[in-house]
Amino acid sequence: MSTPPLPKRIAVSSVIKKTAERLMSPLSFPLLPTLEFSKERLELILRGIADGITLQAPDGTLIYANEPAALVTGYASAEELLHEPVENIMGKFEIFDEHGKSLPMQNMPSRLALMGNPSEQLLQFRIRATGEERWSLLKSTPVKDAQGQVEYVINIFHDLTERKRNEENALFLSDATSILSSSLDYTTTLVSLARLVVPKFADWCVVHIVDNKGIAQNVAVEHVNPQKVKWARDLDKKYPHSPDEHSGVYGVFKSGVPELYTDISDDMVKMSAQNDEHLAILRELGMRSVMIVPMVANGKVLGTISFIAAESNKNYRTEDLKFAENLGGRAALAIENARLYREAQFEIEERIRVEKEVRHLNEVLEQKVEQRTHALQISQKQDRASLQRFKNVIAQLPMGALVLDEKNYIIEVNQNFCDFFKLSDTPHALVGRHYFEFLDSLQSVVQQPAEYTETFHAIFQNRQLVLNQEILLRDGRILFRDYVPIMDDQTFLGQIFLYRDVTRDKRIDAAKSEFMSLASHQLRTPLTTIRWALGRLQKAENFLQDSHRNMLSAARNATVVMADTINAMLTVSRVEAGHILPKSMKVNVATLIEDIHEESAAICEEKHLNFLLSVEGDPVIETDGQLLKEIISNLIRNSIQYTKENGSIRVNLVRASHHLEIQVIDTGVGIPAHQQERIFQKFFRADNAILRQPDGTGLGLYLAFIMAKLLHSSVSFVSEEGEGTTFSVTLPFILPASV
Amino acid sequence: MMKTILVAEDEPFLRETIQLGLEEHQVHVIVVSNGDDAVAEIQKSPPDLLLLDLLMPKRDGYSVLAFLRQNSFNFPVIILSNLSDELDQSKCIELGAKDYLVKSDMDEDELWPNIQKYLL
Repeated sequence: MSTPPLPKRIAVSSVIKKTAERLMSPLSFPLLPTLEFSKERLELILRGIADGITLQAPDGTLIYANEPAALVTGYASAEELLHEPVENIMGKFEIFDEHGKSLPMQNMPSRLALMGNPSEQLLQFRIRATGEERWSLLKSTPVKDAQGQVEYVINIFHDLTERKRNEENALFLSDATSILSSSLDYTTTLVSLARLVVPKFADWCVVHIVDNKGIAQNVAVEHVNPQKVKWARDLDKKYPHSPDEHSGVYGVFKSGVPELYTDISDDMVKMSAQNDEHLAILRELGMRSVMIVPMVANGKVLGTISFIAAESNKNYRTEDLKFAENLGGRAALAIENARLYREAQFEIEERIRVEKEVRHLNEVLEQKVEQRTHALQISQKQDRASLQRFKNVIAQLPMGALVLDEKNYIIEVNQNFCDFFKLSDTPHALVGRHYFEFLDSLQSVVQQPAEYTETFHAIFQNRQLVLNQEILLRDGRILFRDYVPIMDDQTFLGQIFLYRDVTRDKRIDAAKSEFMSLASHQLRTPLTTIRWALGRLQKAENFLQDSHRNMLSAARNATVVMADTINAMLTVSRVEAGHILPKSMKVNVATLIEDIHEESAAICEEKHLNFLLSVEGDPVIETDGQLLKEIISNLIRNSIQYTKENGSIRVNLVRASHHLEIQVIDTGVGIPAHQQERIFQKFFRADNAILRQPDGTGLGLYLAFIMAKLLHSSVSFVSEEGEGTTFSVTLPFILPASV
Repeated sequence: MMKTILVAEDEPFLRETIQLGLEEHQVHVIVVSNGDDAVAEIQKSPPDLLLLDLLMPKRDGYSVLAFLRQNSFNFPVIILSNLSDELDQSKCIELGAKDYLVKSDMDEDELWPNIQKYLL
């Protein structure tokens, strides 16, 4: 390469002068033509201009270059540039137009200017040696002589690298920002970011997020060569960064200060390699320049982004670091936003979940309320139905019914009741009123008003079940009144009075009684004649043969049995008809037994029976003495009848804490075991009893049994055939009111 | 002085038997067969004791009792009847009868011991 010949000095001076004129003209220097510029002064001026300026001769050779022009083209000095042949100069660059398209040499503004056409274009130079990229606005102007021939070309390089880079970075950041905000899944975001970074800003980009245990997690790896992505990942897996490191990913994470390795030498690679394999991988990846920037949000380091230049031969510089830091900040913000979003999302989801749950609970509650309401409606319906049923029952009872509450207010009453007592009100009108309000009306209808009122008071005082109280009405009707207190456990809820018209039943009863009475009278009258006649005949026995005497005796005995039977039947019919109502009186049971004993003494003597008494104390109880005497007498009569001569009958009176027991013990024929269960049946007579005493009525024990019931006592027995029988009457020990 | 017992009994055999039985005990026995005759006899001459049946023609025993009470006769009256109802018995005691005997429950010779105590 030969050094181009320098133009003549004067010529150069005039060229410079003309150049200066051109340069100054837009500035309207009116005095310029008159100014005497020395070459030195002009050079000074040109040198002071920041733009690179070169002059080219018509053959393209450089005849002038200032220092900025050397800088723009990657030369150390203007001198060096001027001594370089043009073809060499151009070979040092790749030149692109503003759209990044390779620009052919003939389209260069300087070439066009050499052809006589002023031209300007935005150019991108990539310096082949360093990979450095520069932007310039090249404005080439031909300076022509009088004949219009191009004398030389002025090239002015206005360096736009900084601006262009800023623009590009801004554009990138804008892209990055839109990517970072495009997804709230920050992992996705960071992968997208790494893809954006590669290949424009790095050949290889790794994003680490430090988890809550302080471990750097590789969340995104991107490599310009897709096949190397795996290598890069493996590297991180096989040779992970150590948290103890003071530089690298952990260093940056811990300090929050970015790291810039502009030029990574093989020594540095060797030093960082943990073993040969590691070194081999690192070498294969061919790291040339590295930036590690922190992702900082709210003063907290969330992770790092590593920018690695390899194949592109790029060397990161401070301005790249600033940009990378900017990107790191935005990424951090995106992560933070994602986190906040996640939290918000979680909160929202939580709220939705809670709301859902609340809604569910509400639904369940509503459902329950509905069910409850339904149940209540049903139960109300049932209540209404049962109330209606109750009203219907009361209304349709074939008797007078009066239902009072616990305070004696009328709950329900029926028409029969109103009719009985000749009340003009309807049952419905009486409901809710106090019984006291119509007590006068009731009194006016009954035969004994004072007594009637008295029974009411007694009932309300005692609130005990009272059955079959007889009420005589003035019109001759007879009512039976039942009083039923309504208890729920121990709580008194109300009371029911029931009135039955028993007038007709009473009449029938009376008729039956009269019939029985007359019938028995009509039977007894001829019986008496027979009995007395036989008695008379027996007195005349001297005139009779023995066999006739026996016949008379049998006939007379039969009349006695028949009389007994009639009496027993009358009693049975009266007891069964309920005509015998037990009275309550003070009864000395010991005396009562002694009386019976005395009355039976004659017959016992006659039959040679030993009749013994064993009485403990002198017990006095409240009972019906007449009935009790009847019961005991029947039992004793039974014993006398069925005990053989020289046998014994014993009556014990045993006093227990809650009852009295009267035992009638005989040494009689006993009751056959197979007939014992029938012994209290009406007209029943045991086989051995018939054998011994053919004339029994079969009513004695039955009478004792049904009469004992009237006294709320019971008759039981123990018997063995041929040995004897023990009958026991157990009486409730009711002490008389005043003893 | 012999006591006079008036017997009012409508059944002839019984009336005769009672008379025979009582006369064995040294008493003067007058017999009538209905209530009216009894009242007439009493009005003529009150007896020392009246043995009175209840169901008789013309005038029954109750009516005779009522008459005696009304006219303040106070000789003892013993009812001898074949009615045995408690109601009948209590009614008679209420009307002033001293005792109540059921004919068919006794032998003819039991009669005297039962009325002797009322002959003062």
